Amino acid sequence: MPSPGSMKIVLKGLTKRFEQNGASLEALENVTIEVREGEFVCLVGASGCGKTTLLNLIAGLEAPTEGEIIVSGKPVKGPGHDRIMIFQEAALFPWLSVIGNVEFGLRTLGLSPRERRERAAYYLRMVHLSKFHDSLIHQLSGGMKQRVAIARALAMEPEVLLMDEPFAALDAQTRDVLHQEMQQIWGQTRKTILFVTHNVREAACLGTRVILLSSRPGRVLQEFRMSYSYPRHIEDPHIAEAAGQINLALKSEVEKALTAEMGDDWNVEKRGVLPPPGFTLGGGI
Amino acid sequence: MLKKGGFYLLLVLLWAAASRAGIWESYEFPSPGAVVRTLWAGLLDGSFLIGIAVSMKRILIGYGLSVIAGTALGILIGSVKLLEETLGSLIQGLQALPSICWLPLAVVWFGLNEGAILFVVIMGAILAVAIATDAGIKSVSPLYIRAARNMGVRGVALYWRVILPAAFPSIVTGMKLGWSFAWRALMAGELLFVGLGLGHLLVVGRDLNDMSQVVAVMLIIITIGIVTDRLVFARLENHIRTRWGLARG
Repeated sequence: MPSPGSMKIVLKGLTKRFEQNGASLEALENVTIEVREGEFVCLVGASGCGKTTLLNLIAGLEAPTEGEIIVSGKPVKGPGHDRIMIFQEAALFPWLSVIGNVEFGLRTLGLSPRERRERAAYYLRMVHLSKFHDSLIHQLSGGMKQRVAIARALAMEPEVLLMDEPFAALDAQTRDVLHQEMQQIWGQTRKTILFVTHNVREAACLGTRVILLSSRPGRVLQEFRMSYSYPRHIEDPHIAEAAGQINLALKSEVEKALTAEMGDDWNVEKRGVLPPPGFTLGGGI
Repeated sequence: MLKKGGFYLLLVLLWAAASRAGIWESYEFPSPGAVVRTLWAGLLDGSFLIGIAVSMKRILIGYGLSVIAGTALGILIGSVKLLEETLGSLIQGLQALPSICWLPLAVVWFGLNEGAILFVVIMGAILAVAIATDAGIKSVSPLYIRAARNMGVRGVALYWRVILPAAFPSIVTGMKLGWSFAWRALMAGELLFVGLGLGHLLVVGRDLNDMSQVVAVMLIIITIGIVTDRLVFARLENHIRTRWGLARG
């Protein structure tokens, strides 16, 4: 387990507003987060809490409305290969083979074809997919696609990995395997990882720290330090207990979001959608 | 395969029987045998070969230019909002005009020569390619672009390495459509005005009242169309299907 080093990512008073049909929608409000080198930080929040927006900002794919983003001591001005993102859908290119996908970004790094091939093969080995070197993307399962995407990101040798719900679309068994693999990769490469998820258990299982975001606009609500030793397993009772605490804090947030969405149709007491008035399930017969 | 073969055999037999029945004069309605003899003679004395060569040269130049220019045009329309609203609507509108209708203007502009026929062929294919490229670019998953930009790919490289390959299946559809438009336009053009070429051989056949030549040339035109489709487009589409993992719909 990498020891926490110097400050890697500093987000200072980050606010992001989108203009939509004249109305202004606030996705993030005054978010301040600091991540040390080698940390594995999980961001958790209800849907619509601006988690993806936050990663886009750090990746430099969007610009913040207010605030500052500093990565490795330098302010972020645009995309850079020191910060590589992994998406929920693998976003692999179907016209390239597996190895072609892993190599894709390496040309921008100015490597020779041989160096590109060797480096891609190395990271493909790291995710245990050497056998599928020349396979086509559509021949892979969901979990394999996501591992290729991880290899593609690692091959860029970024300092920061930004992971946007990367395992959300996978089945539970595949997800378990990838949790183990992710912990190994993190231990091996000592990358700083910012991992966004709505799965509290997953966050508790993977992160050295879990940061809870509020629903729209996203603000930092609470921080949980996860000091259990790695490797961790999602079924571990300690993890379950920690997840329970986070869940409790999250629940009131989810309720707030649902009330905002459904208005009076959402009943906090009953924790369900209210039936329309006069709806009797046929009791009046 | 057997059914198909049987069907065509029956067709030829009916044709032979009809020509034998003597309803029409033999020069009006040639027998299969006469057509085969004319075809053979035409190929041997080289007159058909010259026709094929001239037409193929025209279609290859005209079509090649329209694929390049059409793709470029499609990229521009697909990427620049202003061009999409202006040039895009013009192209959609012009698509309604069969390209052979450009021939009178083309003859005035370029004279009765290769320039005029090339112009008509290009107008036949370029719009279909441009429209398909535009549609292909618009349907590229934004996720691909985000992923590529994230890895530092931008500008021309972003188009060359991500947007064009992602739009390729759509571009091929446009190329296939463009080919058939161009081929039809070329035949019509050769038939109406411009010398040599397969279309011209049809005119010669009519002038000589030799319908066996007309039918023989028609067979050549059909064959070239089918062979191109099988050799070029079927292969391209097949390649795309295996790469992208799309099942045949």
